[in-house]
Amino acid sequence: MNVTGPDRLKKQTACSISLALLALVLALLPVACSSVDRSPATIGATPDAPEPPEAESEAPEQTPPSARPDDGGLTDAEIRALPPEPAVDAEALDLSAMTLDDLNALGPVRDIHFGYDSAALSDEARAILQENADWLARYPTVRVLIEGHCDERGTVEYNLALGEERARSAHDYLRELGVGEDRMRIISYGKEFPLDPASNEEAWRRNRRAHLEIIAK
Amino acid sequence: MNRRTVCLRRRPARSLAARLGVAFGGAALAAGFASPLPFLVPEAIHMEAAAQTAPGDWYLDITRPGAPVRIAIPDFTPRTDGSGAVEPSTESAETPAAAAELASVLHDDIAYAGVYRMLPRRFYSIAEAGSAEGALDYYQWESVGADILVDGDVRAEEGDLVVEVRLHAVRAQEVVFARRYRAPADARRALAHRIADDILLQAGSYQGVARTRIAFSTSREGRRGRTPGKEIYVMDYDGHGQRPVTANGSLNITPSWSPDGTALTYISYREGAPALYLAFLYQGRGQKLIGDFQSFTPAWSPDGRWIAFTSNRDGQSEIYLAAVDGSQLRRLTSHDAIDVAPTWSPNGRLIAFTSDRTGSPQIYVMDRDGLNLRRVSFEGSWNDSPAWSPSRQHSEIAYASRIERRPFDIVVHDFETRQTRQLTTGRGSNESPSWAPNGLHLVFTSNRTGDDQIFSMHRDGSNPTQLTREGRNSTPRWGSAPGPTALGGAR
Repeated sequence: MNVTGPDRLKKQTACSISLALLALVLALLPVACSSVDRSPATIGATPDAPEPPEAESEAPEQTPPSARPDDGGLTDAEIRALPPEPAVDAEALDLSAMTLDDLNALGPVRDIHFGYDSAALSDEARAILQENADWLARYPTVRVLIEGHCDERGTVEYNLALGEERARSAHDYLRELGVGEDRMRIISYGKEFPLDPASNEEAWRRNRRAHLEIIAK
Repeated sequence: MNRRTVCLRRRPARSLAARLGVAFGGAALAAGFASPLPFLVPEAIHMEAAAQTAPGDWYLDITRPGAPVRIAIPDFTPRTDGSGAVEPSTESAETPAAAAELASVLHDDIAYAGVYRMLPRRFYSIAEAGSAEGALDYYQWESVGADILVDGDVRAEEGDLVVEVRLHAVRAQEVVFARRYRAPADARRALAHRIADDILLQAGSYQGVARTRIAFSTSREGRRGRTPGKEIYVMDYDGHGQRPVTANGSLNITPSWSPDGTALTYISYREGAPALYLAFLYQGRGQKLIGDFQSFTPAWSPDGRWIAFTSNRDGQSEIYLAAVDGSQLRRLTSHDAIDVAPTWSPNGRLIAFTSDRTGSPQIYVMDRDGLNLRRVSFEGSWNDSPAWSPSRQHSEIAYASRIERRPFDIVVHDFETRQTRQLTTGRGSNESPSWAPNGLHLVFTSNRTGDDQIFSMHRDGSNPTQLTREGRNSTPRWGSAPGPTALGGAR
């Protein structure tokens, strides 16, 4: 649709109103949440129950212990402190309730990709490894196998060594980021284990990877 | 199963494997895993001279200067028992089929060697029509252009085939070579291969490859678990008799033969990390040799005592050497780059390998102690999988080479002329070359027909032959025929 003149102005206004509404909803959200979460306290009429903490300034560790809801759930502040992305981090994973297959299917640690005949880490790869390191820091019992893979265009023999270098690149950077060496093992599959069996640029790009497989939780 | 075969099976083969067993000592053997592997049963072929022959210089006598030697191999003649009495048992009923198959396989083996011109088969009937019934008429064969004629008789005896083969010099009108063979009825192809190699050796001092075998890695069995499955297989040189060496459902790759053709070393992911294993083919026994850290691309030394391979145990991919019992580990390369895919010179004094120390994968040669490094390949953006020719006549090395990002082709570098010649051109991507024991043929992997398959070709690139068709097949290695010595000298 070609929006012009007053129509466009109208639309912009509508957008502004929408945004304002959204902001209002977001601002009210903690209160709404708190009224639900804290309903037992309200019903019990506990006299010294604290007021809902201010949204902006509170951090979980600053919340008084007495603020923990009776049902054992997270406090408002803890909920707000949780990072919104990725979805799997919205709440703590109960690793004991998951199989390794479930966990790997969920994919909390992500693959990184490499250039042609290269084991060098790109900025994007470093950023992903940082996320992976952060996740591993939250789950210190998790151990990973770092698999190095290559696309089909190289030779079998050299690719086995190249895959090893890719795995080692990821391993060494994660170690710099504080992941304990005893939590990581590396393995190379060369070009024996393509993620995408197709023969095109996109498949090759996907196959030149270091994959982090969770092997203990 | 023939009783002689059973007897051979029970008999401990005094092969490299047996000698290794002594070298290891009982404790080491017990410590290694001893998982059962599929058996290869050696063909029990008994051979004896059937007539007085003078192998040697007659070859020159029948060669007309400047003309190729033409050879005719008509179907062998099925015979009933020596008494002449007709006894229609199932054995004798199969004799005509055996007689035809023996000659057919023998024909293909001789043709593959490429040392003789094969007389077209349509001339056989012309020569036979002119001959008296059941008689061999040298004049008739000479008139159709045959220089050499191979004929044979086949009869069944106690479940075995007994074959008498004669090689005639047609114009000289004499038998220059005759032998009688006895083999289990189900070992026709093996018997024909044996006859072919004997004829080539006796008649032309030519080391045939008819009894040699090719090991390779195949995806045809599928997988168990998350990782891809590839098993080590072995086949005859012509692609027949493809059979498994490993059956563990894991990833098993890059086999390398012991020089006597009775054992393989290979890489298996069966316990997770890629480790170095041995498989003793005629004992149905395997063993892990080196398991700590990752190991890749093993290569058995020509004297049978060492295995060169790649390991990351010191943080980088480097070439190492270990004795075949896993002891005496030593590092040969030391560079902050990839060093992989070692291959031995025929005298065992030099090792070629791939390194990307100059920024792209290239072929290098060093002494077997790691010293005296020099670069071999200078053309191409990616050179890998070197294979040193075992030939005594040609000092050359084959490898897979890529110009820019085009597909790989097999090239051969000649150390004497310092020239590099290209054997494959523009048909798919071609890699992992490996030489036949006589240095006159190569096997390699190519995707020219779709998935990766194994092909053989002559050392000049002619006669490309597809050997595998099932699944994806890779890293072929051409091994020696296990000789009587290797299999215990029982025959």
